[in-house]
Amino acid sequence: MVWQTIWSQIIDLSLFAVLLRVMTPILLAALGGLISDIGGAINIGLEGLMLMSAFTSIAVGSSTGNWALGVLAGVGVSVLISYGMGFFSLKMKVDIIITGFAVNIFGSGFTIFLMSKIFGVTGNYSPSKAAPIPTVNIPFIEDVPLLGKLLSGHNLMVWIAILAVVFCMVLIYRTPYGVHLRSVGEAPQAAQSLGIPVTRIQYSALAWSGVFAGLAGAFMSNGLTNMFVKDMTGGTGFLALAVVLLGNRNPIGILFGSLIFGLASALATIVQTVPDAPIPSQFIQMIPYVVTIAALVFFAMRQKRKLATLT
Amino acid sequence: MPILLEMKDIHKVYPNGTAANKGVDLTVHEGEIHALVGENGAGKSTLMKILFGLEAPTNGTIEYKGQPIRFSGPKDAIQQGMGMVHQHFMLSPSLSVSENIVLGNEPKKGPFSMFRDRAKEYREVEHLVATYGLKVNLQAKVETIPVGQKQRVEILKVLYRGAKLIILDEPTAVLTPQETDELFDSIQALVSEGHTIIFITHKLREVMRISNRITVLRAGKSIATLQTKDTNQEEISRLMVGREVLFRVNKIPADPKEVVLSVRDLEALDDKGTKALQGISFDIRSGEVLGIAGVEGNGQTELVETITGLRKAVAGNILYQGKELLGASVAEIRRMKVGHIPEDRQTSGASLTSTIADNLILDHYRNPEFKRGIFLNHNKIKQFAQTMMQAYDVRAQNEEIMAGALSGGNLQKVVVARELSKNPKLLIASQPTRGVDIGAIEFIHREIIKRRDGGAAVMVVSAELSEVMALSDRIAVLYNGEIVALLDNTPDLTEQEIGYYMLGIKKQEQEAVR
Repeated sequence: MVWQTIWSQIIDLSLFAVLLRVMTPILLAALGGLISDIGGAINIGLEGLMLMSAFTSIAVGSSTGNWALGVLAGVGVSVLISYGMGFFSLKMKVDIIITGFAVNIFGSGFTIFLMSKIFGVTGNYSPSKAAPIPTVNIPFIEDVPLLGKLLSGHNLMVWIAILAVVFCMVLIYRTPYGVHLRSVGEAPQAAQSLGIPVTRIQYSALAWSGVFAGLAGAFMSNGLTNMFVKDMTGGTGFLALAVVLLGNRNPIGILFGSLIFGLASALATIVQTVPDAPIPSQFIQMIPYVVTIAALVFFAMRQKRKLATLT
Repeated sequence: MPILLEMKDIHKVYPNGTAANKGVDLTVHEGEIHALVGENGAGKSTLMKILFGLEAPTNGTIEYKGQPIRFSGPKDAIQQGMGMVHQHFMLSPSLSVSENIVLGNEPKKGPFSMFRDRAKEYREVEHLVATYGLKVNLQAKVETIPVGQKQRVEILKVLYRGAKLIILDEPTAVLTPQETDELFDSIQALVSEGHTIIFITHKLREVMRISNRITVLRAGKSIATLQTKDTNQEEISRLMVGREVLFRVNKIPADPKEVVLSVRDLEALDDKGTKALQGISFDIRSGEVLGIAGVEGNGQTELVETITGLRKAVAGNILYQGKELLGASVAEIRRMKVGHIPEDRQTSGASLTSTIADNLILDHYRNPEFKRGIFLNHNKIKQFAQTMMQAYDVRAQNEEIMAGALSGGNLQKVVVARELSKNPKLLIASQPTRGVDIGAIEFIHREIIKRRDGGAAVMVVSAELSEVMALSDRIAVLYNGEIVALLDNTPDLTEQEIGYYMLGIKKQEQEAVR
């Protein structure tokens, strides 16, 4: 029964569509984590940033009726908090990990607080007139049997996420900024001795992570669903950090890492919707996390081998 | 020759009251190699920081090319044609050689472009490499190239920025004799291309060999500026330290007695799990010093750690006074009167957040002498610490000062004092004088030789070949985890000869090594 369902969904490509949808927030958040990690100021607060952005974007989006304004507001708030993290960790020298955790706790608590103060609800907020991020239907192609299902009908944010991979590739490897970012992350003193403004670059790295985490959060409330649920990110921010390591700290690797996690989540979703599944749903929900652990173990082993072959 | 740089009456007092520079004059002529020498803490690095705009002088003037200047940061200094090659390499390991060279000044595709022009980058760097004959592999990642090449990358970096005045901060500290020769050739090439060099060091032989003029700093003041051809090592060191310094360690010929340590076919792995030591065999007798020479990273660290019980061996035996050391715990080995001066006093030699007194009894605190019942006897410890500080010339206000506040030389003396105060029968001294100034080196060397004459077996590991040669009676050369040569330290043994073994160019027959 379960296998049949999965198989039929693979055949008619709806698994593929689900996969892209669930992959998108992981991918975006991971790219944010990547840039901050390369810059030597790893942003542990992705989870909190996503929550803040998710809440802001649905609140602004539904009250203005404009999804773009919503997304912009969400990203704006996320970038602003990232700068705040920079202020505390780079200027006031608070440990960056502690700062990140503070943002996570703040994001979780503050969104619940705002939800009850502004909308008078606890648990979840689903606006009556939502303004979701649109899906992109490509004319003509959408009518081609296989191609249509592959390329058409995806959410705009899915495309943004894929373009973001290309953007990060160019940014990191093709621009002077990218080279500066890499040197600041691994040899800050070397960078400084050449007149590269280390702190400013780290601020910008955090800001980039804010942009991507903001997009990821906005998509979760305004695209994947049409509501805000408390703690709706459910660890996606941490999954994203695992993906950064798994992807060997480069955008293409991260794309593949996100696909693996996306697949795990997509399978979990499908299996849960099958009536009379032979496996308790709690076990199915564990899949992404089990994959996380397995992936990190795999990564650690590969890293050890690589170290052994070096020198 | 016209004057290029003139620093006059430079004073620097830090907010906490320490005066690092108390009236330094430095005049550098165009096209010369000017050596800046002085002990650690004499004010050399502060002076260079001031020149580079990293610190503001409290007092004094700087003139460069006849113009008074005051830089607000390294960027200004670089723009004015100064370049600094730091003692610790300032390179990004995962970037390529060429990326490191142009870092911060990457060529772009057009004046308004956001993108790097990698073709242009290669062209420019290749041109530079060809001009100065500094051979490097441009595409290689910096983490994969050897130390000598890393230094060339550093020099290319400053040249790429158009530096005319190049400051080399202790450039030979990490080089083998052969690499040092190559560096000196490069320096000569730079000078003939019209560059000016400031060469910071405390290795006086190199000063004599390469510099034109020498400025000596002592205790924050410039003591003298000398023409190299009119002076000698003895004079410079006297000026540096303020008293006569013995160069050769004064020692009587060794009188080796019974074998104390006997290592046979020892094999061990490094942290990554690859073989770091293979087939190591040697003996050390009571009353002799065995020196271990070798380029760093050829198994020295692993050898020391295996003997002192910090690392497990894969095969072989280590017999100490007839007893097997392999498998014994570090504490057991230490109780058997094995002294160990670790290579890094900051991480494994001392506890920086403990007091001098606590550091001095780290190996003795179980000793009933320092206990009263189950408690520590603080009066005894204090007394002991004070005696030790006096005997080993540790300069600090009192024994309650945190070890982390001590200068490198003083901290090393604390470590040496602790290890020698147990009267070791076997002393393993790893880099015993790294980063320590001349006065303290002399003292530590004398103490080590005193132990040898007292009947201890001593093993000295040092990256500094001259140190190995000064202390040892016999020298073993490690290359790639093997002993490739075992030499008697006779007066006609040269650094060059050992250098060939260190680089793996020569290798003795196995029978000779055994």
